[in-house]
Amino acid sequence: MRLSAQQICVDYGKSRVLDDLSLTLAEGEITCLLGPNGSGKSTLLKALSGALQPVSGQVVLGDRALAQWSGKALARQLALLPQHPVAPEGLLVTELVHYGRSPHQGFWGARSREDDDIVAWALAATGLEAYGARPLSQLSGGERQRVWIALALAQQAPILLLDEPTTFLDLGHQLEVMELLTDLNRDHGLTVVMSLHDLNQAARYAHQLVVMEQGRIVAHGEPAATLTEGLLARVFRVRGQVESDPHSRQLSCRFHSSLNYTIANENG
Amino acid sequence: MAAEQAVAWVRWSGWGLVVLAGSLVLVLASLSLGVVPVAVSAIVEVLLGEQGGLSRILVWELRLPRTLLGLLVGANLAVAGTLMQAVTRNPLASPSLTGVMAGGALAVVVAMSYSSWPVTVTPYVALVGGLAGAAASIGLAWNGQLAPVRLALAGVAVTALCGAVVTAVLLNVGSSADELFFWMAGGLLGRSWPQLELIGATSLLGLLLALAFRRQLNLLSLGDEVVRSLGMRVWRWRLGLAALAVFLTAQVVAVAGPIGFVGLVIPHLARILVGDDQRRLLPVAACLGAWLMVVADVAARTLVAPAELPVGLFTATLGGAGFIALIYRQRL
Repeated sequence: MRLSAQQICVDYGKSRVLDDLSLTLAEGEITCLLGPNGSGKSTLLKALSGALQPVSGQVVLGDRALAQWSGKALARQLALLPQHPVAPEGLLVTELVHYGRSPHQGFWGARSREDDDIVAWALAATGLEAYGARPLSQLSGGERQRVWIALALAQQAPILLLDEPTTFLDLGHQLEVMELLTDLNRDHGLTVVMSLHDLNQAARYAHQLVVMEQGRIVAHGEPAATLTEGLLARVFRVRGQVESDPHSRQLSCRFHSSLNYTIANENG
Repeated sequence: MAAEQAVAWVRWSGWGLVVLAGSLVLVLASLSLGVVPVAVSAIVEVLLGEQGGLSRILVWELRLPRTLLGLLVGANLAVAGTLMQAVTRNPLASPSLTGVMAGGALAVVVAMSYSSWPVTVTPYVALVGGLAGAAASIGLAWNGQLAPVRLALAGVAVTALCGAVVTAVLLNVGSSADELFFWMAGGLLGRSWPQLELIGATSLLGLLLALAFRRQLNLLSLGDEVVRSLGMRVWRWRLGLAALAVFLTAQVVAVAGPIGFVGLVIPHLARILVGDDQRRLLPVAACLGAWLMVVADVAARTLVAPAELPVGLFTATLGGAGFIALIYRQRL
């Protein structure tokens, strides 16, 4: 189902965080939101998930605005993994992933055979088969992140929104999460939208890049067409080079120096 | 699958038997102990309607309703505390957090000091005052949703203001404040069938409702963003479950006054025993709360017999000791 923001504005108090922003997400593709701190990536994800109401404009999923979807029906279409999800430390992995089934359950939340099967599938898809009976407190950061992704999978929503899913992980676990998302996108046609700080990872794993600055989208397109040296300088204030590997056509950025810091020093 | 269910059923019914046996022993002890002890055989005869006289008055008119009331009051407080801790995601939340106890106390103190209303209206005054206190806290905290921090701050504010007025009234009425002090400490002295009839059915209803919402309570532990992403209207559930806690607590204030610590300590104790899962936590907390209340009540009426101590003294003592044990156990 198609998810799009139509001229949305979002305010925090008196400051405008998203300014007249429009975006249509490519179905079945991985889209990475890039931009400096405070550019509005998290806010855009929250607005796209319905957690935040825009003051004007609307977010449309399928044929109607998010506000017209019931909570459960919306939860069956899109899942949001926030930056700092919390859960009781003693909770078992299987129990947490089972919570992902709640949009599909009635008031009493009786577990069906189907629920058990889907939870088992979500654990298997995230490589957590052996972890089901463990409490969260015994898991590493990377394993926890996989548990949260498993919960979103159990939700069986075709659209998955993730807010900086790799930020607190070491490089190995970062790549593990990115490859897991790539597999899920390829094998199950999941639409993945995530905010990310690492430009090289974004260039490598995303089909589409959305670059934000001060609550607006300043670039949107395939990585090769979007990630340019001019963009690095203008948006991220860094001097760098973007190179394309002639064989794999893989993009990579090399950074030289911070423009802000250089300018400040030259002036001083 | 069938085997697993059978094992689970056996385990549950095993625990059910333990709970029943423990409750039976406690209830019998509570019926037997007092200024005038009653033998277990005499208790059985009274319950079967085969004995009259003093034993009947002691057991049937005084101790049985009081014991049942103790069970209910304890269960209400423990479940209300569990609800508040889940709703605010704060382990230090207690049933009094919403200002329901302070509001009830204020209403009773004012009514008993400045009106000529008979004692029989006290429960209703406490009930109305408690609900008003909670409504004031929730109203103050409300800003289109119900943020736990705002609710806690508003509850503290309402409790402090009510406490200030109560102190002023107590100072003002001077020597006649003794009776008020005793009420303020909480207790079941002189409570009988009328009080049980007043809160019996509604307490059971409240306790069953809390159990029915165990799954939603579990979900609320996941943090607002995830809960919302799972399709739950967070603030509606938070408001509804806080209201349920108020409903349970106001009934306690009505019949037994403001009893502290049970609602704070028992959920912790239950959590140490069975973990965070509300499917186990709620029934275990209800059971422990009920038991603690009966034990405290027996202690209150036997330790300095024939005089009687306020039961709040014992729940506070047991609660304080329990918290010290918690601190050492968890090495905070």
